[in-house]
Amino acid sequence: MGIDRYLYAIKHRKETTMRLTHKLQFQAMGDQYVGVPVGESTNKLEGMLQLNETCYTLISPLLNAKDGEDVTRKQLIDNALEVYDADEETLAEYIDKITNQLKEEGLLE
Amino acid sequence: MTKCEQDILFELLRAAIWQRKADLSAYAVQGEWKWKNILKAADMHGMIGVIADVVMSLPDDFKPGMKSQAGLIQYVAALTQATYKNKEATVVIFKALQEKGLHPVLMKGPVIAAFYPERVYRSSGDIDIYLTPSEYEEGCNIVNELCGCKDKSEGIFEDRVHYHVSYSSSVEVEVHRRVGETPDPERFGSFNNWADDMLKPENCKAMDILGYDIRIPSDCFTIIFNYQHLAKHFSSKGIGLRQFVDWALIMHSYKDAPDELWQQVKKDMSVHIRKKPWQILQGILVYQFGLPKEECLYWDEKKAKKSQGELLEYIIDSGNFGENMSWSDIIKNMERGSNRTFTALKYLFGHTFMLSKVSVKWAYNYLSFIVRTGIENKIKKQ
Repeated sequence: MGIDRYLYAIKHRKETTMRLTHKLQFQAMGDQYVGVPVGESTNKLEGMLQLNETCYTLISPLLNAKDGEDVTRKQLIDNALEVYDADEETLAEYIDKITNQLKEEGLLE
Repeated sequence: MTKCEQDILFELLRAAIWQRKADLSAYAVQGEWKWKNILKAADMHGMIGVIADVVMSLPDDFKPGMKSQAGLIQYVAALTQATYKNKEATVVIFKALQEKGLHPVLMKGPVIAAFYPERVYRSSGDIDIYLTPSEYEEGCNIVNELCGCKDKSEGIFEDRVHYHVSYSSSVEVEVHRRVGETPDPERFGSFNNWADDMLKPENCKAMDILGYDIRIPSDCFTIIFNYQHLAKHFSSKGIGLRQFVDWALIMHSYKDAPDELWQQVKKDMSVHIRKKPWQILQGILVYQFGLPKEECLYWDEKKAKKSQGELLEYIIDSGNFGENMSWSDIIKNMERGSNRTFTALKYLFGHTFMLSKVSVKWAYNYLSFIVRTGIENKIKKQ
């Protein structure tokens, strides 16, 4: 594939979206956030999700998205850039790490 | 509970409600204290959810042990789920009532919880719904249907002010035809008539619960009713720290409210509320919870100081709504004539004595009620 076509593909690729598979509600507890399944998810998911403040902040648009609303990776990075004084690449790396882990746990699709 | 443990509990509560970090360094060197006792007291007052975030934000040296920390996290997790269930049930019930053309108003817990800071979890038990006396019967039938009850005989109980029924294993609903609360029986009628008027749809406002507009009382009603609720419980059974935190946060929330609101509150208070007990109990808001005196209404230093000492100790011992006093157990023991009758009498006179420190009239009302109830029970048995 020529470089022009590659750049065109990147520019026009459909941004991947993600969303939580369960409805979770978070409560601050010191330097961490505790998320518990609520609503119908109570019957499908047991236990709770504990995130430290940084993890929570990095993916907060995803955690606080309204029911059924998708969030893009770009939205997460843009949000992180507003909060943290770090470069885009580093933040994207952290975000990918967290979202991949949530996907492995079946909490993200 | 040692004096040091009490001081730490108050510091944690102040930090939680005024949204700052707690500083225990001054207390920790003062005397003996154990986290177990502090958390037990917080639980007894229904305040674990309120202090959880502040406790978990303490420097590691001051935090409780890992087991207690895990317990706090689990407690808050369970509380978060219970509160959500409560909200879901509220929306279902309100939708059903409104679809039938009724005008329910949500009262107490969830309305008060909205005055608390975001990082703080104030637990609330039942869903309290007010319906006008003319809508009450139809409302009870609709709620019964949602709760899977054929009629009121399947509910928990009904008295002259409300009907109590279980919506699910963890959510209970109280449908009120009268708001009821007043520590002065002779003012019951006028206070309830005032409340009926204040709770008319045109006098209420809305609160968002899970994206649905739920009707709640006006600001004036909230200020007066919350105090009446506290005063009623104090005069009949006892009150705990949560009732004072509720009151402090309400007063703080309206500190910049327009003068018209406070004029209306003063006007309505002059009819329905005894000023002296308000002034005495208000002392706890300032001395224990750090509410600025300027945010109080009718502040009187001399009267406020009466809230300290024995009265404060009594409130700390009482637990949430006086539940730690095991009032019902004491009454049962008295009726059985068990050897705990002495304890019961000690409690009755102790409570009367504490009431007299705030209002001699309340103490008199309380004793009259006990004597009347005792005679009525005796007659029933015969």
